[in-house]
Amino acid sequence: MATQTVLSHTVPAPRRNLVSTLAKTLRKPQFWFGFIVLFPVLAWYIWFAFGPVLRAFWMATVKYDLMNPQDSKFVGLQNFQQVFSYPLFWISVQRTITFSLYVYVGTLPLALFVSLCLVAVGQGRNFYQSMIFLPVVVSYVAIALLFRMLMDPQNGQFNQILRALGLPTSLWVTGPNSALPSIAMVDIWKGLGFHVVIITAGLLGIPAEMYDAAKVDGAGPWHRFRFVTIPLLGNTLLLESVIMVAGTLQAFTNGEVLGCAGDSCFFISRLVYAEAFTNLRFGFATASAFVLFVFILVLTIIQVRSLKPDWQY
Amino acid sequence: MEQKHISRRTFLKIAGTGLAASAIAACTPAGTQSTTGASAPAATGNKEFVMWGLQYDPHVERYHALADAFFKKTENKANIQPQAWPLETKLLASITAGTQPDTVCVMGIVSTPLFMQKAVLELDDVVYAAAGVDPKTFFYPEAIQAYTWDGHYMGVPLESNQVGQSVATRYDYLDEVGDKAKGLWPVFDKKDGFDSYEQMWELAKLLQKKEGDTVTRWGLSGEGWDLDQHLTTMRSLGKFFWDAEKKKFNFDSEEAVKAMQLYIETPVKMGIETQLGETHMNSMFAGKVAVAMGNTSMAPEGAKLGLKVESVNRPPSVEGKETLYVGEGGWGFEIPTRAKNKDVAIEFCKWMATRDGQVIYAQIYGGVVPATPSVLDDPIYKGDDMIKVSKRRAIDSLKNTVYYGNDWGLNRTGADVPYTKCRQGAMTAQEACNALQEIMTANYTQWKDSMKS
Repeated sequence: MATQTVLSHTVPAPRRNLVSTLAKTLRKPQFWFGFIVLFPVLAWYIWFAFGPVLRAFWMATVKYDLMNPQDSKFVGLQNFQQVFSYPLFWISVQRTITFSLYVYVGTLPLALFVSLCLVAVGQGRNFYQSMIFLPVVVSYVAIALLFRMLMDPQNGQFNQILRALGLPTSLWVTGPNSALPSIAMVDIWKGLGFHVVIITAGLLGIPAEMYDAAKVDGAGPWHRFRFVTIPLLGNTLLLESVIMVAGTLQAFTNGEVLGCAGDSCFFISRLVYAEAFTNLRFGFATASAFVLFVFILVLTIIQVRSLKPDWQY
Repeated sequence: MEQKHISRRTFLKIAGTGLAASAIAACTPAGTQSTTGASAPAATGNKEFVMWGLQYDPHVERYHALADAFFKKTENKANIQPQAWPLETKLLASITAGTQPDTVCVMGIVSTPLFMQKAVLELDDVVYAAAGVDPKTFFYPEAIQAYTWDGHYMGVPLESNQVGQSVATRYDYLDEVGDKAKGLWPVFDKKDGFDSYEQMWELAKLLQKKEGDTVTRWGLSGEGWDLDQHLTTMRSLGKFFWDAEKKKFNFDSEEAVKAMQLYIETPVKMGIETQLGETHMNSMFAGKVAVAMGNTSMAPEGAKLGLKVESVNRPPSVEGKETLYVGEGGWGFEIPTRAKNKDVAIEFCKWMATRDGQVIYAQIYGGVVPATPSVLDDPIYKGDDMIKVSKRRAIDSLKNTVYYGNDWGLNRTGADVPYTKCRQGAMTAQEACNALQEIMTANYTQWKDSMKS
């Protein structure tokens, strides 16, 4: 009793509780087991995920010395200033956003439509889903070769079909105005299967009772789609939207391997690559990459705030 | 037998110490090293050195031939490790990781930024002075200039590039169209090149093929290596693209516009050229183009595909005057500053700076456009078949060829855009030159800013 009184005068109660809780926790074998199990994962994230991001930010603020990085001189926001005053950066921003819009607008409704069809299929859904998913696992280089042949303005099958139908032909990836839509088309085709799988899973997760109740209330197919499917698919569509925007804004391979005409496919990632690995201007390149990162982050926050459904089922 | 058990605590201590030591070792920066190689002792033989080069069969075959000959001479053995394109990014990664080769075969134009950052060795003293070779006289100007920065040498060139020099066609096309076409092909007139652009355009027009309104074989293509070809045409008209005194580009000059008209706008307006999205050489081999303008390797590369292709000199920009070329240099050997076996790499480069080494590499592609005139007496350059004759035409014009120079920073990002748009008909020659001036000036400004300490 006396001891308790002394302690209560020297150590404030909450602190004493914290220290004793901590001491108690440290004595528990479960804590150490958890710590040991988690430590490799935490170390991995710190070294290989957060570390490089922080290092990239540091690189964006220095004049990077390739041979002696520790001697790199701090230049503050100079690299960012250079990025914003570089005309090709703004061209790349415009091309990247346009491409992202094309793919977003082209993919989401199409993936939703295909998923609705798949859900309605009674037998062989997995087979159809596998077929649609197939382009996702094919290398982009192989796809690029295929589409370069199909889109060849002179001998390509696409133009031959258009000619046979009496329609005007296109220059596809070699045309100044057609290159970006063409490459977006290839991207939509390649990525569709992935989005279909996610949306189909979302659709199958909607309880059948919801539709039954809507039917009892006299809702037709359109009303069931509009007032049951779309709202209940909200979380899936939000995920889709975030994945698609973040992915398309980082587009690189398609523009590189399909060989678009001129600057039609000069995306931000291609600028970053050229500046880092051709011109060895790592400060400029990482500053550009950071601008892209912030842009994607802001868009993601906006999407989460505006599209997140305020209900659960 | 008594078994010793390690307690968990001991195990954790040992493992923790090991991990910490590895982490410290991995994070320790490599020591600052001399970029002139002055401290490297001479190689004594029986040493092994790592050689990187392009993972492309003709290149790899030559690396082995060089390694064998060097081994016979010095008993130093090359461990050849070919790397996929793009080589410079792999070199960069290896330098930062400390796994760099001892010598690397890479293009001078892509490694200038590495030399600027002291990642590759300066070879003035350790190679050229030590071997008693004056690079300015031993090599053709374009070849050695591509390995020169700020008056210092960063590599030993193996070839001249000379892209932009040739115009080629396929003999099956000439046979198909007949005497009229053959009358315009300079070879039948015993000439090494076209007399004028008009002559070339007329031939292209004759060889162009149509089915209804659709062109199935375009007359002409110069697509690919556009900057080199435009700069060559400009220089031949009397204006170098870069004003070293005023530190500005000359794409805003009359000559630049005239060159763009000759090179792209006029044939596009004539309906004999369009943007095809691939190089002129590949287009011609694929049967999409009749006359291809630019690359010097069209004859030997065509022969590999069983095509009878010959190349002649491009037309003079001013009739009766010789064409003055601007090229981008070729491949060559360099030594990373942190090479572990620098001494052997230096010995190897010294040997490559002699005729003995050069002539072995020169055998590539059945005779490369060489870096040095010293190899021209080799049998590979003799003979009267059309491949050899085509090659000799390119070699003869090397005296008129200079490298871009690197005073302007070599940043060509986006430079292909105005050419593409002009070829698509989306820009006039004047607009394309204006755009080029703007892009290149922006690139130069960026480069200049990044050079400030």
